[in-house]
Amino acid sequence: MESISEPSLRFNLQQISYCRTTTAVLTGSTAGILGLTGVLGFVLYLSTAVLVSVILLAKAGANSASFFPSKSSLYLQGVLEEIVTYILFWTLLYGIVHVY
Amino acid sequence: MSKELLSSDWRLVYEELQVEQKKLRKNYSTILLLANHLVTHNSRALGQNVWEVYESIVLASLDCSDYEITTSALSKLSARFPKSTRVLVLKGILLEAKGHSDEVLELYQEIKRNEPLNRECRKRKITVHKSKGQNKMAIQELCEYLSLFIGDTEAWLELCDLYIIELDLYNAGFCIEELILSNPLSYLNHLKYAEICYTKGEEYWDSAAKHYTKVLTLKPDSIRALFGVILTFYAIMKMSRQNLQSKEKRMVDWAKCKLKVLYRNSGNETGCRMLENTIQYFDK
Amino acid sequence: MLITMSETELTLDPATRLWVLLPIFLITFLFNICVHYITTIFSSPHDKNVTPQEIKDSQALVRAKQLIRNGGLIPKEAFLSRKSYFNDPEDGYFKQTRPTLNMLQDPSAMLNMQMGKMAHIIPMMLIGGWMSYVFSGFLLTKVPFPLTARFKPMLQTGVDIENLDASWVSSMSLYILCAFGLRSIYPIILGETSAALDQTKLFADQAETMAAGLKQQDMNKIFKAEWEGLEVACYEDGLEKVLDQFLKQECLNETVEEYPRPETKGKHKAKLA
Repeated sequence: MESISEPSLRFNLQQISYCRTTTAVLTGSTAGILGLTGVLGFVLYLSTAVLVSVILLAKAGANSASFFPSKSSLYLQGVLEEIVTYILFWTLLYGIVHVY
Repeated sequence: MSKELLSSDWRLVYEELQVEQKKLRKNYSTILLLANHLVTHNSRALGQNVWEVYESIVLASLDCSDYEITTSALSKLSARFPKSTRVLVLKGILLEAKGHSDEVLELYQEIKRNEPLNRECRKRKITVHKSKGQNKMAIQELCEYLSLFIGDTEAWLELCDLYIIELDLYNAGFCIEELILSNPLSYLNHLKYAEICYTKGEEYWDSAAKHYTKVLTLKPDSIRALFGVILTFYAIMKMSRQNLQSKEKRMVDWAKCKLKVLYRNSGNETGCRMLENTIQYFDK
Repeated sequence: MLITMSETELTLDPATRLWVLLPIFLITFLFNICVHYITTIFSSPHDKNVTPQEIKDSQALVRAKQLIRNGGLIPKEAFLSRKSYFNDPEDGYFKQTRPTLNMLQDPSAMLNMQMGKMAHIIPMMLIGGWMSYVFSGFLLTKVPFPLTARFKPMLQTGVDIENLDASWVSSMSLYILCAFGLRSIYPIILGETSAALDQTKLFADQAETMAAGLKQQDMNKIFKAEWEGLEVACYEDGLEKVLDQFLKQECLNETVEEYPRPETKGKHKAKLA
C-alpha cells in the first residue's frame, strides 16, 4: 500500500503523452514526405515508439516505478492513442507531396 | 530587498506577492507592503486581478492591526461587488477583530441561512465561538460543518482538539478514526490516536501499543512514538503483572537504544542525562 | 478537376490540395478550439445547484468506501459501530429512500442532461454534414496503406467509381480522420499541461463537484449497492501483526551502540538478533 500524489501522477502521464504526440506529428510528417507506404510506415511508427520509450526510460532512471502508476505505463501509455495522429499527418503530408 | 524589488517591474512584484501568499508561515507585513505598492502604482496594469490583491490587503492589514487600510480596501471591494458574500465575510472578520462578537455572530448566521454551502462563514462562526470560550457551541457548529464537508482534514483535527479540551476522549478518538480512515498512511494520525488511547485507560493500552508501533513502522525516529512504546508496554506489564514477552522486550530495547542514539546525535547534554535517568527508572 | 487514370496512380488537380485539403484540416482544428473556449466561457463552477442533502449523500458514499478499504486500522468496535450506522435495518443511512427521478415531471433537467452529453457530438455532426455538402465529390488523397474493399463505401462517400482503389478517400473521411487525429494535440496547444498541478482549484469545489456528478442518478440503486458492499465487508485487524512487521523491518539494519556511561569502561554493542 503506497501513498500516491494524484496531481503529480497525472502531470507525469500528461508529459508522456505530450512527448508521444509531438513525435507522432513529426514522424508522421516525415513518413508522408518520404513517401513511405503500407507496412513501412507502420514500422517507422513502431520503431519511433520504441525509441521514445527507451529515451523516457533513460530519463526516468532507476526509480521509474515511483513516477508512474505501473512500470509498463512508461512504454505502453499513449502508443495506441497517438497512432491516429500519426496516420493523419502521414496521410496529409503524403497527399500534399506525392499525390499532387 | 524590498526597495529594489518595488522599483522594478510590477510583474515581479506581483509574482513575489503570490510566492509570499503560498508560504505556510506568511509574513503579513511583507504581503501588505507588496500589495499596497501594487494597488497604488499598478492597479490599471493588474486589470481584474486587482480585486484579489485588495482581498489580500484586507487580510494582511487585519493581521497587522492596521484597521484604516482594512476599511478603505473593504470599501473599494464592496463598491465593486455590492452583493458578494465573500466581501461580507471579510467585513465580518473586521468586526471580529474589533471585538463585536454578537453582531458578527448574527451576520454569520444570516449568511449561513442564505447560503448553506458557504464554507468560510461557517469556519469564521466556529472561530468566534471558540474565541469566546463557547466550546460546546463551537463543537456543535463544527459537527454540522463536517456532516457536509467530510473531506476537510483540518476541521476534523480542530474538532478533535476541542473534544480533548472538553475532556471528551471518546469523541476525540472518533475524530481521529475518521482521519485514519481517510488517510491511513499519515503517521501523525496514528500518533495522536495512540496518545488518546493511552490516556483513555487500561482497556485501551493494547490499542495504544499497536498504534505506536504502526507509527514507528512509518517513521522510525519519531521520539514521541519511541517514548510511547516504552511507556505503554511497561504499563501493560505492570497491569498484567507478567513480564514482557520476547518480542515486546526486543521492541522496548530497540526503542531505548534508538532514543539514546537520537538524543546523542542532537548534542543535548542535559537531555541525554535525563534520558539515562528515565531509562534506569524503567529498568527497575 | 482533372482525373487521368494511369495504372495505379491518379493525378489530381493541385488546386484541390490548396482549396480542399488544407481548409478541411484548418476548419476542424479551429472549430474544435472555438468549441473548447465557448464551453469554458459558458460553464460556471457555481451553476451546480446542489442541495445540502445531495452533498451529504455523496460524502456518505465516500465514507463507506473508505471504511471498507481502511477499516482494519481502527478498533473493531469503531468499525462495527460505523457499519451499523450505515447498514442498520431500521435507521441505517443506506436504508433511507430518496425521491426517484420522474423524467416527465422535470423536462428542463432532462434537457440539460441530454444537452451536456450531446455537447461534444452535435458540433462534430453539424460540421461533418456541412463539409460533405460543400466539399462533396472531391477525391482528395490516398491513404498511404492498402485497405480492403470493405472500406470503400465508408471512405469514398460521394464518389461512385467502382474500380477505384479503396485507399483513395473523400472529404468526409478526411474530416473524420482529422477530428480523431487532432484530439491529442489540443491539450498541448490549449496549455492544459500546466493545469494538472494547480491544486488549489481542485480541492475547493470538490464536495460540490462530487455531489453534482451524482445528481441525475438513481440514488436508491447506489445506496443499495453500497449497502451490499458494506454488509459483506468483515473486520480484519490490520494492526494485529504490526509488532512482527516492525521487528522484521528493523532487524535488517543498524547495530545500535549504547551511549557510553561514564562509570562503565569501554562500550558494548547491543545487536538486534
